[in-house]
Amino acid sequence: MTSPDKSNTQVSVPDWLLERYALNELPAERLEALRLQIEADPELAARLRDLRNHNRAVLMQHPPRVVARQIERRAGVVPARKARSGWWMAAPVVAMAAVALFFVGPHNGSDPDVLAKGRAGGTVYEDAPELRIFRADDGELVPGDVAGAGDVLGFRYHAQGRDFGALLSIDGAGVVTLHMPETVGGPLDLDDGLVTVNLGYELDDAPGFERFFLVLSESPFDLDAVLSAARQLADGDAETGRLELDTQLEVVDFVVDKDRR
Amino acid sequence: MSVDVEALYTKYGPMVLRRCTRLLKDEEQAMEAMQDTFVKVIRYQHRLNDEAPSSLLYRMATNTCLNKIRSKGRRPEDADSELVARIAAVPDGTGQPMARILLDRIFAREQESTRTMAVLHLLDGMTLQEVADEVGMSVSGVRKRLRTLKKHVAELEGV
Repeated sequence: MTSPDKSNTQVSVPDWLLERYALNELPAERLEALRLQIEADPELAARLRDLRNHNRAVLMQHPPRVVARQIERRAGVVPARKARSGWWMAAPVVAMAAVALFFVGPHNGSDPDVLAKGRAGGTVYEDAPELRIFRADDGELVPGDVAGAGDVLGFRYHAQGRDFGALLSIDGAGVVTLHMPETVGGPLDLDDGLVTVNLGYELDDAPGFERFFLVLSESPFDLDAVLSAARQLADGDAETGRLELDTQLEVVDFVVDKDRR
Repeated sequence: MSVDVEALYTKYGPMVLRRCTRLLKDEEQAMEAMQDTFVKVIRYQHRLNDEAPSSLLYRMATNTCLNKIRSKGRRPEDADSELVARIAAVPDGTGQPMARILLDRIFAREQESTRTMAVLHLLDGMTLQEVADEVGMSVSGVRKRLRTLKKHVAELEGV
């Protein structure tokens, strides 16, 4: 997709003016003057046509529904989609695929293998926090399960005494979603014991996987920084890479594989 | 005022993406900058005024790209890029982060970023009057701000 922008130093009507003409956001007098100029200048008319064609190409390549959702998630204003009657009562689930694996352990910047260890065996130390993921009508996900678009997932955690936390995920399309709290400014407080998170999250058709992170701390932390780290990871190896956080934060992750057919 | 992101993107997204592509010369980074621009709109929507959205978004996109160029220390690839990189490298002189300045200006009628004004004038070819209209300042005010900026990058005089 080639942008139709021209160097403003070489044209009589600069890009910004043509953009506003195309959007009908010029004062009436200037709009009319430019309309006449475009009528009289085939090259200018071609630039306007290119611009409008480029508009269509952008919207086809980056559909508004998808992009708007990505933007809202990046802004942290869209909580996970909630099942109408609770995740455990959601509509029948297409029992396609899913794998679930997990890591439990303190975030340790000096140990690059800690995630791999977690994948192999789960809990790696006593009293480690836990993240459990369930599929509506299908119980807890275990290694070997595969999830698909439309599956509704539920979450439980055991914070093992950590007082503050957040739950977020990165999907195979690189989209970061904040699940808990619902917004960036929301409360980070965690409850004691095994807690069912009050939300149902419906997987969309993002490819490959969705990786969930439960971030925990014994003190309040900067959720913006966590989301920023997640977005950085989303730009790289989101499926297996490390979520780079302050060392006082602990991370439990859980990779849900999606139907790759 | 509530922002309908999907509607806003549908109407203005392509323009913002073109703007970012032109400044960043990289489609992937431009896409990210485009989204960052709309994220800022969402975050500051409670202070959004009724200014023409295209003008607002154009400047926000410009500001977002300048910040990216500045933070990444991108190597200029052509004359336009070199100009933008030089502008991006100039300290804004107020001690505030540039995004803060622009957003404050846009949403609360405070000072516009000098660097954004410089890009509008030197890269986009806006006259001083057009820049002044754009940012709600006097022509003499714009001229003074640009003169200050030019002191930091005397090379701009010859561009």
